[in-house]
Amino acid sequence: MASLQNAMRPPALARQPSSLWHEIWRHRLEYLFISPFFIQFAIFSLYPLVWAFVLSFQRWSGFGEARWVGLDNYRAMIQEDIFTKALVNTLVFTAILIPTGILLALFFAVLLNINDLRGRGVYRTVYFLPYITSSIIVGIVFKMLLDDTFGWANGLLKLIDIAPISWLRTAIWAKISIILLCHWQGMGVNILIMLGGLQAIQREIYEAAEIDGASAWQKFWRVTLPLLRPVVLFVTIIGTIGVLNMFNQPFILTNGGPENATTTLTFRLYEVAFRTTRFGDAAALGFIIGVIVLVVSMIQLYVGRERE
Amino acid sequence: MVHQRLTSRRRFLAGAAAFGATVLGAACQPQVVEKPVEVTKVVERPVEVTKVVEKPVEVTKVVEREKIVTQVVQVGKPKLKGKLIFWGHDIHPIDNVVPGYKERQPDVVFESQHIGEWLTKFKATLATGQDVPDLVWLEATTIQDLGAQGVLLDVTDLVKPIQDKFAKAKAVEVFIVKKQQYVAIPSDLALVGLWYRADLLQKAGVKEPEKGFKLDPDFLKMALEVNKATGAAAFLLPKNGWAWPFEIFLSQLGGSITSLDGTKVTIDDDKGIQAMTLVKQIYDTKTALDTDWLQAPYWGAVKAGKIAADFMPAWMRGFVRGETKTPEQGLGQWRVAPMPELPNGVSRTAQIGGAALTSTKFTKVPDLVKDFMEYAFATIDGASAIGNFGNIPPYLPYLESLLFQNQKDPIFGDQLFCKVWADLAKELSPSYARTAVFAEADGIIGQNMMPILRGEVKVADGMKKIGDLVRQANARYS
Repeated sequence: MASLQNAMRPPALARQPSSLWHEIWRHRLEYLFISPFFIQFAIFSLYPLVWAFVLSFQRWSGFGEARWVGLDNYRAMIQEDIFTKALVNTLVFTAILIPTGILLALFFAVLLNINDLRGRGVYRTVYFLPYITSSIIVGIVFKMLLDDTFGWANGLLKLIDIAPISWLRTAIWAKISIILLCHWQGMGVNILIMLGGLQAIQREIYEAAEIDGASAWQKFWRVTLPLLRPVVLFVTIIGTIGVLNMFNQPFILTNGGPENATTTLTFRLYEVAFRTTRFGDAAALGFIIGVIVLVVSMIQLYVGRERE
Repeated sequence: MVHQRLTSRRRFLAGAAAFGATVLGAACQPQVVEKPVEVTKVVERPVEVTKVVEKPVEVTKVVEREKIVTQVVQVGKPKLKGKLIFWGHDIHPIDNVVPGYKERQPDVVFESQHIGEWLTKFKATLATGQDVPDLVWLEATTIQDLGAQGVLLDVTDLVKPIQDKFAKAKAVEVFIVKKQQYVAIPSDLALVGLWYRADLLQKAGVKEPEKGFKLDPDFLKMALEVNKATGAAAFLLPKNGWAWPFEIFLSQLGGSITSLDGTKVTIDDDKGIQAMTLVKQIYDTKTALDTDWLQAPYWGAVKAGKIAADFMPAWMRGFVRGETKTPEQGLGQWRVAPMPELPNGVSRTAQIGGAALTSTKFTKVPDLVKDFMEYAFATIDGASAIGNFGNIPPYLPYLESLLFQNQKDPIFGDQLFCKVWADLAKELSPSYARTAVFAEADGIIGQNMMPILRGEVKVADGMKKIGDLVRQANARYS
């Protein structure tokens, strides 16, 4: 039928390829409706991003003329001793927080996914509440709880005859404190995402596995985990991006100390940008962090897809 | 509908890569180095001296018990008109000055705005050059940073003729060596002294250091005895580092983190090494309070009598007064004395903080600005208004007057504590510079000093590391 119609169409009326402007004009109403987002994006995201990128090649104190210095800012930031320390700290946090975070979230999600679990909604709310609480408030409260002299944590340890721990003033315990705070606050959303993934797995697959004689562990290992892989990959990538950009927790809890033991890359960026007037350096460091996050995310994505 | 792809993924990536390569190529270009231009033209500008005296000068003698203060009251000051906008932190001493200034200049409207995050907003106004406040209260390090960049108003014609009337160390802080200009009026002498609890020392059987004493052996002995008898700490030094004791000792020794013009880092010279060695000496007494300054546990310790002494600046008076309400909490029990004398020390005091009143080149009322600055910090009226608030203006005629020296405060009981400050003002070292890198250096010291104090690294090696880090940071300000 279509070929008959095409054969009957006079050649002169055959459709001409339309120009870009013509296409835009044809869909002008649609573009009008989506334009607010793009205008807002252009003004508040794209323009500052480009401006910051240009600034990263300049020396500027926040006013007056900006002086072009090429790659000098990038070089200076990378060569700083504290950059290396911040990078190592950030990677250590990532290496510890991501696997443990996923394992814990999976554990609790599996528990919440138990059939006929009573009060599932209450548990979900309880786990999610820390996530929606301001990280600043949480940090302040944790700081008071973990205070060496007056904190409740050491008070409880004293009750059971254990020597007090210098939670925020020794390098290793300061890192542990931050890890605990991140888990306490961030686990809720990961549990919800994992739970969603678990509940999306069709029951029939488990029934088929049961018919084949699979044990609970075998069902988990051979059915649940493989089918949950895309969700785990998603949580891993998002979580990694979050940890690589970690700032609130070291800022409130330890101020990057003791002895820069908890200084992360983003915390260092804050120090350069707002505790000094080295805006060019800060812009350069921001893009260095961006490149690191991009590279790590792409590696994760590649490895994750390869396995699939 | 015909869908025509505007571009392919390959073309887009190629275009993005070309753009990135272009930018990188531009970035790799050699840095544009500005050759210094030699100016051989000498420009002479006639300086107009205006001194309007409509009436004959009146000399008023104020006879006080011990000292005669002669204040020359110059009537017929030129009347000015306009509006001044001031930005500073909340509850500010400048607000105390305003009523007196309004009598001097009734046609001037003074607006004191205490907005949140004012310092960040102030820097934003500098970026635009618009809505910049006429007067602003800035720390010495910021004044040096902005002054070196030519942002601040040149007030040399105001300050230079009267520079000898200010404590020298404070005048130095508002002078920009690179530009040979004064860019602020010396305003707040944040002198540091040894604050101690008389009751706790008495309990420990330790004689009060009213006239000050030596670090070794007097202070060290006091620290150990008071700690043994009362369990109270002798100074604040949190386990995660605290730069103040080092900075105070460095100033007392006549040293500095950088040279006055900020070009050379001197933190790790002999004086720097000696200062850190002395900090290690007091740290080794194990009588330090391990908590963060001004946080709740710190005030808990102050009120509970868990800190018997500390190296504190004069402006802490307001804070301590706010927290100690009863004698049990220390009200009336605090005393202030000179800092412990150091071997080869040049001074028994230092400065912690201490901002100055300044203006910017963007102000449209420079005459008004200078007139207010002069009133607030270079007259007895203005200085006493500042002094009544609790700050110490570095104006020597005021410091030498009984108006200042006879002040009392409930936290100090009957002690005439201002006499101590007046004496120490003369000793303050003028070599201690707080240049643009100071704030960063403060952080670097705090983060890197603890291995030295714990004996894990030698003092000289540790100071060399700190010095190198400060040099790295300082290079970014040139």
